[in-house]
Amino acid sequence: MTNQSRTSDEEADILAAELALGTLDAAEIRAAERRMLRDPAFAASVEAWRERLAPLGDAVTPAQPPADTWAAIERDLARMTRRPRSGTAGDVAIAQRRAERRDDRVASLWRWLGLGGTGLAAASLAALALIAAGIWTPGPSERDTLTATLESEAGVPLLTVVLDRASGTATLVPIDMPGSDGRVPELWLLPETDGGAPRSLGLLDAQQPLRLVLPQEASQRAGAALAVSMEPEGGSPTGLPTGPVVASGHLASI
Amino acid sequence: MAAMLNRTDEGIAGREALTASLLAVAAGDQAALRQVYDRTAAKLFGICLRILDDRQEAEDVLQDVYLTIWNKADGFDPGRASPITWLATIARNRAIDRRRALGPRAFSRPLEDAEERADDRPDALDLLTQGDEAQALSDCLGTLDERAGEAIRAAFFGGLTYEELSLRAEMPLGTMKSLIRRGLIRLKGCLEARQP
Repeated sequence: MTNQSRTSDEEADILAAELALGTLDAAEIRAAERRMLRDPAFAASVEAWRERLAPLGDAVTPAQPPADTWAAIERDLARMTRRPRSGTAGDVAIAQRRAERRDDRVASLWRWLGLGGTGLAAASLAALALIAAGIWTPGPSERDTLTATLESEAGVPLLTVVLDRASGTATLVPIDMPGSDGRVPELWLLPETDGGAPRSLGLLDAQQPLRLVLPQEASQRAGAALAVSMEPEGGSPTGLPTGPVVASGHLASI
Repeated sequence: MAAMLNRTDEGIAGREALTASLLAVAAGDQAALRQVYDRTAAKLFGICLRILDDRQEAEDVLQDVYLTIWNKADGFDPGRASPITWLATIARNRAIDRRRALGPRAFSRPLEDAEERADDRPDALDLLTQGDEAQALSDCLGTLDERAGEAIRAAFFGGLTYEELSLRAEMPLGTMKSLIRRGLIRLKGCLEARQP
């Protein structure tokens, strides 16, 4: 049983197992998750491995979280506007169908974007055009979509961020991210006040668009500052930016 | 001790109740999220704590986990995943994300600490579950090369990367990768052979 004798299906199944097991580094996790979005067979393989390994999870010793955890979750929920809380069941159903249709379009956009690494600038402009043309419309309950263009110090746009506040999902489209030379771009949420620490939002892929679920504080305010620094493979070893900041920008409503 | 949401002990009724709650969460019912929280918080906190090994980090991630559940509940498909696997996967993924974001340095604790985890040990499964699936997994893990079985458990419970695993076992990275990959292929073969 050597590497050379494995088929691409077997390799894909091993990758699925590695994702389910959790041995991949941050960049590999992102790549595998993107593949799940555009490769249903691979996604099914990952699901199967999660179920296969799930009995191991039962052996983890449960632990009681602090009593105030639920109250903290409730506070965050109150600030979120995922979908209408009031209204008839019919309204909710309509909102759900609208969300589904939008998800379908986003999914096909993703499959399309995932096809190749060339012409990315054109692809990201096309993505913005879809948004601008109203094909990918924010629903009524989620009209605050935030966007940011992260630019270099010289004012060159490097990355476009479109944040759907309803789901907290950010779509990140690289326009002209710098080449690797062994380093990877990492996205940071800058502190609102002096003295706070930047918070890592995850690693980016310089070649491909990707989606991230952002923490609440990022999704909640227009004006939040984002920055990209170049970090060692696997991300900043300290949890704070260690490399040069190559791009920055602010979230704003559209 | 883990009886609350054990895959077998939870029973069909418990599983169905959790599925119903998740579907209500998908429709925007916050009280249903509270029900999910009450039933699963201890299990999911256990998972976060085990992977992050830091209470404060685990608490932060646990909050993110329930907000993610709230946001993603409409992606839960009871026909494809069991509710507890779906929930545990979110907890594992969020905790592993945070662990990767914090970087390996945050977790450079002495090796002997890492060895003293009861749930890494091969018998942990046997102590807890008598269900068919758990029995099959336990048996099949037992047929692997001992180092492979240990590494797979350590990876699952601790959220360790190949690199961390190889350092911990004092084994070259490539050797650790092929050990685990061979182990996973063999594990799958063993589990499939046991299916009726």
